[in-house]
Amino acid sequence: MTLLTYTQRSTLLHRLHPAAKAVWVLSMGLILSLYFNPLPLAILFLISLPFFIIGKIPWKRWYKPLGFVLLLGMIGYFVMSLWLNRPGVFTRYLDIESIVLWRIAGNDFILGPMAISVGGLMYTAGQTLRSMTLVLMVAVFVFSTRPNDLVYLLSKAHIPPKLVFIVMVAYRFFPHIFHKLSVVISAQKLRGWKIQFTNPIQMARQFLPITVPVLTETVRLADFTTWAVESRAYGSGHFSLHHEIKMVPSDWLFIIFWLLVMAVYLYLFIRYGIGPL
Amino acid sequence: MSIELRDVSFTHWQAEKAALQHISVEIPAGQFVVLTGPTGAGKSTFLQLLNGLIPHHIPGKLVGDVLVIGTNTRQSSVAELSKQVGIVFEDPDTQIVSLTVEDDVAFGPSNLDLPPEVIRASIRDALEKTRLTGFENRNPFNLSGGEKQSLAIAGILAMHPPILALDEPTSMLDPIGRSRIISILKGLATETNTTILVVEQNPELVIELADRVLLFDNGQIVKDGTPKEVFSDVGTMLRVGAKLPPVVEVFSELKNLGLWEAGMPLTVDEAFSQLQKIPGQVAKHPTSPQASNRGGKHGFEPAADVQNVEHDYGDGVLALKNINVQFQRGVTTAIIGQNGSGKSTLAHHMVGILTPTNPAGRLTVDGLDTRKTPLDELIKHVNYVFQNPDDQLFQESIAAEIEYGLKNLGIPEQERKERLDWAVEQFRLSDFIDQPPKSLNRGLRTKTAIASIIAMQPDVLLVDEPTTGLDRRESIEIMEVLVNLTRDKTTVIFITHEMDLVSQFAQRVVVMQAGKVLLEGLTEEVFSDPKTLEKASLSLPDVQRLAMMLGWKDYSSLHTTHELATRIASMIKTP
Repeated sequence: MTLLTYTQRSTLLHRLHPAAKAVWVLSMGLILSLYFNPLPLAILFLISLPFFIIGKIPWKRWYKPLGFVLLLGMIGYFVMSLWLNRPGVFTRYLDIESIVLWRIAGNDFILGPMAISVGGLMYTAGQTLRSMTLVLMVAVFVFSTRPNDLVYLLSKAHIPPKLVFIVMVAYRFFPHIFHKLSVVISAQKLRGWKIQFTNPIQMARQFLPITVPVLTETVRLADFTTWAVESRAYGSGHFSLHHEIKMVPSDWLFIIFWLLVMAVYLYLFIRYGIGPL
Repeated sequence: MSIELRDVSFTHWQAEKAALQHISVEIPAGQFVVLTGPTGAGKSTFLQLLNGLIPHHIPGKLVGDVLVIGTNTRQSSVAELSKQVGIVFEDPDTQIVSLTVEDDVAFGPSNLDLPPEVIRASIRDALEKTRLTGFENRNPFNLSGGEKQSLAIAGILAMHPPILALDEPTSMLDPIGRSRIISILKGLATETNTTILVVEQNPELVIELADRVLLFDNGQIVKDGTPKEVFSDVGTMLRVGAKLPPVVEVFSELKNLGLWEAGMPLTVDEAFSQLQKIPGQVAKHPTSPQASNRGGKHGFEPAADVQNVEHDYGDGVLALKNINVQFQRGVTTAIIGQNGSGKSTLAHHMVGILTPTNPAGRLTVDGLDTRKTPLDELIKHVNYVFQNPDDQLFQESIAAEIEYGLKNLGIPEQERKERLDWAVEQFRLSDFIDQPPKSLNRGLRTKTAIASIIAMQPDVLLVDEPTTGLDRRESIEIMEVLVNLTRDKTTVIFITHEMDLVSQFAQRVVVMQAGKVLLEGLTEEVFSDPKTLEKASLSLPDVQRLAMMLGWKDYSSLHTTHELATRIASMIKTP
């Protein structure tokens, strides 16, 4: 598991001030929270793509987990979209969105009418794009930002030490817990564990051999990490860095660029109502 | 006084028995103190008192006062106390918080809000002392075990604490990793006035450095003295179940036979120099190499056959490089090698968790191609016990844990019951059978994990570092059960760093280095090539090292302290 792990590289993205990257994440986060329309989301993804590329992210190692996120998202959103086929569900493209391509079940169906509709497909595409952009952006941010720099930045922003600690531990936790999950699954498979499709309670019980050891390890790691960081004076005062991080022109350019992108998207959202479906 | 404990007792929350009872001890500045004793004796709890983890983080009832350089630990936070006491835990992975070596070392000084130039100087100094200069930009998780533990120590050293406490810092390391840590400690002990406390199950590793030894048992310090005083008291050491240095085991046996009057040597070097002084000189009696009587090539029937196997985890680095090796049926084979040499990766291939990433790679176990055989079929023939028992334990009782795999295999109830009883008997778990495994100590958890796999009765059993974190007595108990399985033609393959256990229990050995098989053969053959072992970051156990120094050509055929003592005894009797 190489997603959500900082990796030392010499790239423009790695050299950027963490505050500049924070502005990028926050701007994108705001846009993604407002937009559901796949077209502007696709444009946003394309605008972000060069930054992902200059970060020299390891595509070869990332394509599997990212592909998994994409596939899972697509399937999940597509299933949800099957119920989005009635007029009034959408607020913007009323005329085209309720066009039903294939009706699966009518009004009498216990879960309501189900159909593949134009609006449903747009919803699937938009949500998938949002998920993918968000996951990729967070992964790239974590990949290119030193944990110590982030701790420094958050401390400077007067974020409470306990919250900073949560961020720091998350950096440390995810790779370890993903690794542990794969070890536990292997260990239980060797004892004949496998998933059988049955009723939901039985299905949930089948995951106990995995969840109990992983949760135990999570608690143990949380305890030890807390002990370890406090044993290294964490929380005793201010946090200083051994290297200086200063804003340079490229940081300002980066910030201005993303603030502009955010401004354009906000303007289109407020002025023309582009964003919702 | 650097550390002072005044009648300290501590009982963990909800525990019935006190972990520490009425401890009163004073440790002056600059002393090197070794804390030894069986598992659960209270050694780690003692260290947790020093930097305030008890009582600030670990809940329980603390009685008495702990003073660290005059500060009562009750009245200071862990973060504040960390300026006085640096603590290094057993598992380096839990202590690394950053994702480059440099950042990780910087983390402590950064928390002290030191100026950048002071932090940089501290990093340089700490990396130099721990021999990690040049590793600054490396990801800590790609380091070897020894390097990771060195990094954990560097992170503490960068804060310049006057007291350094290390909790079994070498238990997860290969012999060369251990030497590295010991050498770092040696440098600190001789070049600085740091007070050093080390919890160590293998006292022979630190015996030369120690000014003082505290022997723990049942939460009490039962012996406090110089290494000579403590380790010469063989009766007390054996009574509490602490591991004796192998040399002491040899010479106490000679004493019991009335053949040794002189002082008790503690190290191989001391033993060698004393043996050279005795009349008749043991060293002048080299014997010719003996034919091995353990696991010969004669009638070699492979239980597992590994051909041209390579594995790439996806990072472009081959974790296994063209492995070709066979494992003899019904024989105990040890896979040894440096941390990260590919031992576990090879084992994972043999049970089908991993498959070779090269098309030519092929593994056959018990006649089954691991690539083509479904896992639920393969596990009836070959199985594997992971290093950490907690990776598999989840049931509410030991009985349920052992039966879990059997139920999954569809074993009928009557046979399941018989196999459960058999597995419980092997590890003498009957007194604990209804207890939840998670509430038991590491030794019992490890035994439960192995019992749950041997109950499935695989023809080939792989066990990954079964003795990690266990004391000597528990380690021997487990190894004896594993060796006994070979009587029923089970093939036992175990991965370990404990060279004395390899010497004592393995009939054959596979040595791995950097993803390759470096050496393979009978244990005696492999151990008679110490230069190749060294290439794999391994070293001979003390018994064989002493025999080799004495010039005995058949040194590799001596496996236990008893065999060495018997040989020396026969030499002394017939000068």
